[in-house]
Amino acid sequence: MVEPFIIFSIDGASYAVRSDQVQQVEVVENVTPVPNTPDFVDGIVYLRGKVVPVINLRTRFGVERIPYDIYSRLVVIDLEQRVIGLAVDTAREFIHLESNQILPVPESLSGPGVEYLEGVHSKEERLILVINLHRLLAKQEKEQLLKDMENRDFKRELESRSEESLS
Amino acid sequence: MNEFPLEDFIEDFLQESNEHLQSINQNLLILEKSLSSKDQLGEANSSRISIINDLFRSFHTLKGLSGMVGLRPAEELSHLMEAVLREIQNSELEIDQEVIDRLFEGTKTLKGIVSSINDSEAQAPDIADISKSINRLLLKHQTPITPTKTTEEAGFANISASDAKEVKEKSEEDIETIIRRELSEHPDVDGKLDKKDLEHLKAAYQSGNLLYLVIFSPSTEKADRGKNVSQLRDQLVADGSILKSIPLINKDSVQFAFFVSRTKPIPVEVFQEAVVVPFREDFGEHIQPEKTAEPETEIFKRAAVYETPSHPRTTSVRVDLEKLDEILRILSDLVVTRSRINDQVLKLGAQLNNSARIKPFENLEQTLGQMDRNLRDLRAAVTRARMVPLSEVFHHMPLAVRDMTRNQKKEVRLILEGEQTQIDKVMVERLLDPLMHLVRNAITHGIETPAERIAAGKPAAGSLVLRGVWEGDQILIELADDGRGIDIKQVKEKAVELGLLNKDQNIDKNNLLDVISTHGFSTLDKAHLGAGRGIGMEVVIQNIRSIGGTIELQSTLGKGTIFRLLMPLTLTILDAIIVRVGSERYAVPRHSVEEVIEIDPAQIVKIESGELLPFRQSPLTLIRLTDLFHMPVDEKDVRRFGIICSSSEKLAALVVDQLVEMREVVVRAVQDPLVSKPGIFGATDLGDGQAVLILDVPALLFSKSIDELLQS
Repeated sequence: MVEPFIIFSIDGASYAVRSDQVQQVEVVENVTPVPNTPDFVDGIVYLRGKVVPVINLRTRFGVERIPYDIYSRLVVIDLEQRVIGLAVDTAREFIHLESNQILPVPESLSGPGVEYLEGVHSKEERLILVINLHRLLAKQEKEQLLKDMENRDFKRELESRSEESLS
Repeated sequence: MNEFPLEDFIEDFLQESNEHLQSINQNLLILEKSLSSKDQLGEANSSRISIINDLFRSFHTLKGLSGMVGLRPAEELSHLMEAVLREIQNSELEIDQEVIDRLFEGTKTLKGIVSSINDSEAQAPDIADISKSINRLLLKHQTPITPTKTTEEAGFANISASDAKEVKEKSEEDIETIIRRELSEHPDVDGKLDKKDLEHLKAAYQSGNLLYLVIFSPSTEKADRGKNVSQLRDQLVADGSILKSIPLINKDSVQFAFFVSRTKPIPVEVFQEAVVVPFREDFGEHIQPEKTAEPETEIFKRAAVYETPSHPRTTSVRVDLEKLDEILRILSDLVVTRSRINDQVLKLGAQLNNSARIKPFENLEQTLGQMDRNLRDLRAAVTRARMVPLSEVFHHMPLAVRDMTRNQKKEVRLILEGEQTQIDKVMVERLLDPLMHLVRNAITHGIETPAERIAAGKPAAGSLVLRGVWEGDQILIELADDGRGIDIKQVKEKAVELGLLNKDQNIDKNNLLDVISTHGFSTLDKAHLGAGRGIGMEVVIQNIRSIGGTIELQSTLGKGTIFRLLMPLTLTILDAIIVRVGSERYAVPRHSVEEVIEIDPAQIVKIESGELLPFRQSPLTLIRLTDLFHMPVDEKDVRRFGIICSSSEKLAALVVDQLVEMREVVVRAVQDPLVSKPGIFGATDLGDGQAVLILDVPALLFSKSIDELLQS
């Protein structure tokens, strides 16, 4: 089966996401930072009247953060009832890939974002890394959950301590 | 009018049909080969599925194409073949040599019928034999298909039996009158409608679908833009089905009339390419939003389905909106109280953890859950009480349009749809001005005079569609005209002349709206604006944004203009103080503020746990946003401002750099777990497209999690 993909790049590498999971691609502008969020969250933007969080994929992939420039794009994904913007170096291409030509990730492959890949595709001698967005979101969720649990424990401890000191 | 010769159309039909027949034969060959290779596993199997899907699509398209040229036998036969493929897709029928043989035979017959259309000498092959053998094939698997089954069943789960019955009774008398009335203007179509067709239309109407008559006149100009019958057909069947297509063949031109049954309204673009006659205008009662987002929207939806008042205002009480707002405020306090109980119950649960769970505790937990649901329902009910139908705005339009068309000697057909769609009362009031302005613009600048229209090959009367429809938890309002559209070249010249744009900058669909709404921009004849209503696009956009909406513009030169407004169904408006800390602006809800003071840095007393400021009877704790939010701090000793809030008789002040203004803001939820943080109430747009965080100051100042914030 042939599926349409949107290609974007991070630090020179080409990544592909299924275009039916992409709501729109925007210029990155007017990002409002939100305090006390993980380092890979750049903030929020307003899109069609809705508040959309912006994930900096460079940071998420462990690549050094660079300021946005005229090529930067926001790939807005709509998945699992969440709308999230992914800030990427640039996104310009729309291509069709044969799904049976997407090969498993070679074990030897390492590099930014490799843990989120579902496969690789080489088209005209060019390596395209196909991202599994579900995996990307799942990772966030897990981290969030852990953090919330820590906070809750911490809070409980604080509360019980203050109660002890009162009694 | 541009004439479109029938021969050209037939030629297109032949070409497209032959392409499909050819691909069918190829695919059948591959399928046959896969039978003998016996390899049904793995890759071969998945490629087989895609071949079957391809075949299905080809037959489906052939069916549509044949219907359009009135080639009944080809339509029926394609339908049968499509049925076979569907059975295979559903694994009801296994592919064997017999199935393949029948499909080959059918395809051959189809080809014969298709070629006969252009050859007056040839006799079209009879489909009786092949139909019989295909039906036998299907019967053998106990799924006989009647060739006439074309209407798809409409989803209509949301109306209960009694409601459906009511719709049915009401419609029996109405729909025929509506059809007759609308068709009186199209006698050529009416003549081709028999009793059975009428029954089909009635049935579709009664199932709650939207009915339209669409008349399309192909032209070479439209074809150049990729607008042809197949493309239109695809658009019409995307969310519906074609009940009947009637080719209207005159001496040397051809038109196509489609009766369409749809679950969603026809895309407004279609109004610009074809004559569209809706057979019912109050679809808002019945249409269902596509997405069901959260329980609240579910309730909105039902509210609109069930509670559309049939006798408006006979049993209603006028309630001041402020009173409803007050109830909502009390309600949010109640939500906070509930969460406090919840905390205590959690604590209790932790202590009970080791010992056996006791029954009363479990009951308590259940009751809490129940209370949670009650509160949500209550909130939805209060919100619903604020909802009114869009007709409160839409009903102003016909009179305005009538006045304008008379003054300007134009003919306009105003089509209102979705007037029963429910929307917050506050929204309705604030929508009237901008919508009225857009309608006036459309008539004054969009729709041409009858003479100009006829010269351009359009009907003398312009169409103006105003429609409201749910889109998830928002409402989409579309305004489409089929007028002259916006001349981007002209707009650019003017923009360059006014210094709004550089010569090398281009105007495209993304910045067109920005340019024409720039202050002082007007390419338009000043005399038109002399009516005294020229509030300008700038104000329209500001109005829309101030109620949390967005606006999009799509314009095709010579074809018309579409405005799309996406609005929240309901909105919370707050009075807020806008403050600045560092380079960021924040909004602080006014109701949480006791007092705003200026802070003299010399008076600040630093103690171990923070900073204090002498204030009347007792010292005031100062909390700096820069500390809470881990922001860079500069010039510590300048004068700043303190926003004083109180909670349980404790006072504290949030220190900010600057007070910017006091204004109303629209609250948008910040829901995604990635960014939903304690102390952040929501976000708002002050009109420049930049999101500004609304702070929950009491939570910031008094919540225990503040320690976490400071330490994290």
